[in-house]
Amino acid sequence: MENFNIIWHYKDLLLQGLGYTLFVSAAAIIIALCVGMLLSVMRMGGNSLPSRIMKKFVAVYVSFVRGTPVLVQIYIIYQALAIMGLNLSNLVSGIIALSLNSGGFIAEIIRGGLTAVPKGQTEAARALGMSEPKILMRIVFPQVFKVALPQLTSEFINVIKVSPMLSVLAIVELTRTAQRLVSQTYINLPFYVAIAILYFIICAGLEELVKLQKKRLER
Amino acid sequence: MTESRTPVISVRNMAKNYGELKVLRKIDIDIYKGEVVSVIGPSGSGKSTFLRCLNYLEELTSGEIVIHDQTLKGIDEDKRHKKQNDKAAREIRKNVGMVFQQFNLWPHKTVLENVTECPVQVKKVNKEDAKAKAMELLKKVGMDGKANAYPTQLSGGQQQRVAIARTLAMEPEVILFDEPTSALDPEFVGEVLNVMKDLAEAGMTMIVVTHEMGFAAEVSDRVCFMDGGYVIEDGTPEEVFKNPKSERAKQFFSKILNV
Repeated sequence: MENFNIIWHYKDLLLQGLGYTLFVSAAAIIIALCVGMLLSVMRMGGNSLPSRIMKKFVAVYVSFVRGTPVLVQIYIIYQALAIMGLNLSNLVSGIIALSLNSGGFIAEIIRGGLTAVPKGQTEAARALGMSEPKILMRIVFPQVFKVALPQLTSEFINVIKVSPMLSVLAIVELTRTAQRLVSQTYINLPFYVAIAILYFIICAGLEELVKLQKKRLER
Repeated sequence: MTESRTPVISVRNMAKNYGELKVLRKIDIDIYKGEVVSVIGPSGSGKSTFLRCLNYLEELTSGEIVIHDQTLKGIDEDKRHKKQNDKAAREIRKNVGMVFQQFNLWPHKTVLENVTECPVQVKKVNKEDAKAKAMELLKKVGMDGKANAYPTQLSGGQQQRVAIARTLAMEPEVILFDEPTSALDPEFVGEVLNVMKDLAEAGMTMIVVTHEMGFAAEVSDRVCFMDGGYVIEDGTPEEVFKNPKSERAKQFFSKILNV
């Protein structure tokens, strides 16, 4: 009971941390989806030299993202953005780092989903005069997202679970908040259990949301 | 056919290769307004490829296709034709619709949305007008009762009728049918052919790649028999079916009509 009281005492700080975690994750997921789609489009070209260069770029990008630790990626992006002279806050740099990471994984998920959309789908749209960008956005991607929803959900959950790494950029999200409280109060387990529960609620909630959406899509 | 009429589609010297494989060798054909042309022939004779070249779903290797002052040119002669072809194809597709063997309705959209999608997105028709027009077309093909269903809930015949309505919604001058009944269970072939018959009677210009000899004989003004990448018979159904000039066509008909 005493433990609970302590957590309750610091609830405002914890909720603030939760707010940051939710904001960072949501922003990263949305941008990552755009990055993933962009990378997929870059991979669709034919055999011309520019298309081949773009494909190579995406291949290197994806293997880099998959083959290096997220923490290292966050440091690199943070420093690189600074060197490029972009005066961005740590929060924005952090979100960009997470998005670029997750975007690589989403590109791979989309690649799998694309094989599930028959060629006839785009041909029908093309024959009716639809432009290529519209075909992608209105015909292809909606179908890709539908089949790839389970993998995408895992990836979104992954973003939420990787977000504590942004604490290295002094972003006071949920985990960082707990760490601070632990060092102030010398009480550790209750805080960590409390944030574990909060993370679990977010992820489980997200899963439920996706299930609902899936039902809607499967009418 | 009087000489003074200008063709809607004019194909000159068209050839199409897939690498070494010569699918179309030399096609010359004119299609006139209001004509219903059935294209028949054995599998692999190039019928579908011919049709797909007409609205540039396939690139032609050489020769040219003229539709409404727009010209598609073979890319073998000059690579620069590619860009011009893309541009011409955009114009051509405004006038030339296509119905596919596999229907290719969009499964994530309702029947009504399938029909309104392109008028709204491509022609910028406002949504209400597009809907009203779509319902009218769905009624015409007998599918107005299923406007809010999803394609997967429909039989093949129903899907194909919706696909025809979707094509009609763009108000094409010519419709290309690529084996529209080949993927259907036999019981549903009739309903699709009836819709096509209605269109033919209403004066629509149609090019139909088909294995339905009954339809070809009864509805079309002209029958083209293709084999080996050439059109080897081209005439009225009477001429082609009753008195084929070539041995190849005679053999083909004797085989399929005896079964």
